[in-house]
Amino acid sequence: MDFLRFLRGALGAATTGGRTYHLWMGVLTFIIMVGGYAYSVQLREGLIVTGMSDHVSWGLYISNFTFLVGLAAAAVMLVLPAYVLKDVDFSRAVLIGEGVAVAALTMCLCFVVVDLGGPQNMWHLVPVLGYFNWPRSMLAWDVLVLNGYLALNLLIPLYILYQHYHGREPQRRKYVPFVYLSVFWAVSIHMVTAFLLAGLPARPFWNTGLLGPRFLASAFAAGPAFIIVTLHFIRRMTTYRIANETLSKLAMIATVAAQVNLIMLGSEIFKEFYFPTHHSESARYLFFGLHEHNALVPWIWTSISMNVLATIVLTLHPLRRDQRLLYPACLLLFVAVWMEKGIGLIIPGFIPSPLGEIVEYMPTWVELAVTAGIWSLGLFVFTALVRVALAVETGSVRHPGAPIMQD
Amino acid sequence: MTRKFRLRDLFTLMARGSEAASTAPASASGCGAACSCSTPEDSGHSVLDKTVDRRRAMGMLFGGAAAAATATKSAASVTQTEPEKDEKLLAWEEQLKGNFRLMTERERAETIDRLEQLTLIRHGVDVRIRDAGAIPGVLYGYAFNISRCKGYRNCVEACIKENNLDRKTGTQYIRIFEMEGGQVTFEDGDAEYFHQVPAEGHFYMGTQCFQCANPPCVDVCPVGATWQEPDGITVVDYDWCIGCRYCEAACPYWARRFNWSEPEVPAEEINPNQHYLGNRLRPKGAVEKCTFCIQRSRQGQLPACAEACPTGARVFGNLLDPNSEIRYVLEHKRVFRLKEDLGTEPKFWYYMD
Amino acid sequence: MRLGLCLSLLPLWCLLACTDDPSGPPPTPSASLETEPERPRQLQVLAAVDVQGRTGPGDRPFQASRRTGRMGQYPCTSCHEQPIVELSAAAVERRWSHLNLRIEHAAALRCGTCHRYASLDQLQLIDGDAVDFDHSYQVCAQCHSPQARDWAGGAHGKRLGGWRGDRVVETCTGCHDPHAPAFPRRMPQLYPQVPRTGTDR
Ligand code: SF4
Ligand code: SF4
Repeated sequence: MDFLRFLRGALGAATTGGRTYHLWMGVLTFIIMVGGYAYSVQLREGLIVTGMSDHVSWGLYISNFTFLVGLAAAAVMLVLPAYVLKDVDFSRAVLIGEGVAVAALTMCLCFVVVDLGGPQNMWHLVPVLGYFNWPRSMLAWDVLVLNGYLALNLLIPLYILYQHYHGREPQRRKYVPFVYLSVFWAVSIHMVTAFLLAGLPARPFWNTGLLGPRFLASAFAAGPAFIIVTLHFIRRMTTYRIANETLSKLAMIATVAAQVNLIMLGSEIFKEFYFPTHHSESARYLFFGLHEHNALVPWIWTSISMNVLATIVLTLHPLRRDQRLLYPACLLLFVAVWMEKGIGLIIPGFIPSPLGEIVEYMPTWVELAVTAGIWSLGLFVFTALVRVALAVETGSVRHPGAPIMQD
Repeated sequence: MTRKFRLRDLFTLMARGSEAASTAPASASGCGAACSCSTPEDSGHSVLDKTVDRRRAMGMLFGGAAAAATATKSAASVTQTEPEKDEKLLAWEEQLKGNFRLMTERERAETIDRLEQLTLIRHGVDVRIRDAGAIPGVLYGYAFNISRCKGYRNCVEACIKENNLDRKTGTQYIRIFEMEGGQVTFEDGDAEYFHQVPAEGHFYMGTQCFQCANPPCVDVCPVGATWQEPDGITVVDYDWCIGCRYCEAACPYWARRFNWSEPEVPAEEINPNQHYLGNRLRPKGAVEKCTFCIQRSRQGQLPACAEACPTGARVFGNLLDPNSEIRYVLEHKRVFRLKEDLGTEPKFWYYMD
Repeated sequence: MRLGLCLSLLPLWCLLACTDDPSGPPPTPSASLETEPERPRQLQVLAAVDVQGRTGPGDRPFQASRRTGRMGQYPCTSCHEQPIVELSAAAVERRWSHLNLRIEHAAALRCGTCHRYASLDQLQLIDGDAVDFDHSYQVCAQCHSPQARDWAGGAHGKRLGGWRGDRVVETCTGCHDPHAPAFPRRMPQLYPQVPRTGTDR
């Protein structure tokens, strides 16, 4: 009964707000609906309305999926210090981080579903009803870890918020084991997603042991970068106080991860180009173009330049401490990683095909609309979650009988 | 073929353990050629409970509609006079059926019956869909003579007609590459050539699904919609596939094709001699591939490509029969396979005169 | 006058009558519902002979498709009532009959290398032994012995009817034109397609 009241309060918090809030949510809803329409076209006609082909059989959808798994995993960078080390600074940011994780996972699952040719057959994945090819298929592992991670990231903050709602301190004994679990889990979702690609001998571009660590590094760069940008907005738009120290610690994490990411990228590039073999054809296609086909060359170089620029800004202390530079640098880093780890990672794996044929890929309007729709859905979910979390934390939504919190 | 240890084997072992626990003997057909051949008949009865369970559970999920559908069906209300209603009912029952590997014999017969009716309703063609199992003691192999192939592509045409391949997007299982002399690099080959053949200074190499003995495409499928039959043919249950295309990414020989839209085959060109795991009409959004013409080879015939080849470049037969032509080729010719370094063990060899 | 007419029609008639160049493998029978497993329909129409003097893998006898059934105007003696005489190479060039024949085989060959002038319904080996048209592979095998060996084993040539049961293979002339055995250059086969519609790329 209490829980229902809590939910009602949460719903109320998510649906009330100023004009900017409603405008923002309205725009998101509109884009979601456009995406929904595009998806209905795709359902009717089949995936032929996308730019994918038998040669490039995964496209924008799976690209976004791999990137977003990383974003979801990055929430762990905040969870561990906040809950386990009792770093007060972080505990304020951590709910945001978990909101990011939930939103990112929602988007991940949506992207996987829209990529399916037979979504009506999805029940075949349900373990007892269908035939869940676990543990052999890495995709089965991925389904498992993603859903598990989603559950963890919903339950932990829910418990904490619910306790705060009642004005009680959450009991560490009850949630810290799950926090530990979710830390391992976060690493695993990203590793499993990397293994999904790295385990394919057919695609030398992905078939490298460095793929998993690279995924982690880029995720731990893009994730905190994204959270920094959101915290900036929250500071500007709400009364929720976030200490500068939180931001600078997060920026430090993003910086180190971005540096490691660049080192790994460099080492990959060295391996591909010091003595290029047939296995380097995809990398050649990506970075320099292959036989007049060079659709991705400007894309990847833009991404790398942005990446390097952002990393330089973050690395130099005076620049990083300057808030006017920190936010653009974080945004730059986020976009750069999205470009590199989405399109820049998935598409070249298919070009050239295992038999050396080159067919390029260009997303169609349907794909773009569906992708935009899912991103809007993610932002929608994220905004709503953050709004509820802030409302509970700041005490504007609370149980009638709860004592007044000091914070 | 000796096998090295791989991490994946451990997974496979675990999988066998868990399958054995839940679905008893059905796992035998699930674990590929390594197991003793289990004909569909043996795997049938013992999994009856599981499959019935599935249907009941699905029925509960969808408000008993499935159960109702089954009931209506058994009350013989299916008449040819109301094709549209029939079609909906049949399609709904099809949607709720299980994985072909786990079906009982009766369920197989029922689904085949439904599919035949649906083809009649939708395309006006009376087809016969078989579900013939593997012939015991047979493991199919293929050899391709690269000094004989002239690039005529009669095989491609025969394959399209035999296997009811989608005419709209021009699906082809077979690719004939025009290769430059002096090297075997597909990067410099051309599969889209259209000029007088054979071209000076070139040779021709055909590719299709090589029915790997150690197929990477099978392990990756999250729903077990593709597997290796005891006779070595890797098949797809088109109605069980969810269309994730993971297998397409995993195949090192680019042998799998996806139905990007509803496949189109003119009614008068539909080959009525079909197999459930072979050339029956595919739904939109499922993956398909060459099956060595399972509908033909299990009847003792040659695959359509081998039969159509005007130069005799294609040799097909039983690898377990020491007196077969394929064994003669393997023993008397210098053969090679594509990408042997991957350890996929294709059952498709190239050789020269 | 009448003689002139006859003479001018003669090449045309020969052209029509003696089309014995191979028409490739027999057409694939259209798929039937009741294909008998052991002996596919094809073999019921296709006559085959037991191959003499050679065995297949495992020393097993095998069969080859008949030549005679597919020759346009066999027996040859229905026209050639008399034994013929050897023609010079120049005379072969200027010949009046069998104009459909493209002769592109080893230059040293004469018609009489393979055809038996004394009895035209038969072929002959180099050593003079007569060979039936249905066993023409023996004539080919004299020079092309590696191919003949592979043909018997199964690495050269083409199996007919199915991979199981009695082994029946295409005879040499089933695929190769004996007078110009190399495969011709031609355009590759076109595939059946339907026109693409709006939503396609
Ligand atoms: S060739 Fe490709 S599709 Fe065929 S069995 Fe091997 S991996 Fe699978
Ligand atoms: S596309 Fe179908 S057969 Fe291939 S892996 Fe996915 S579900 Fe399995």
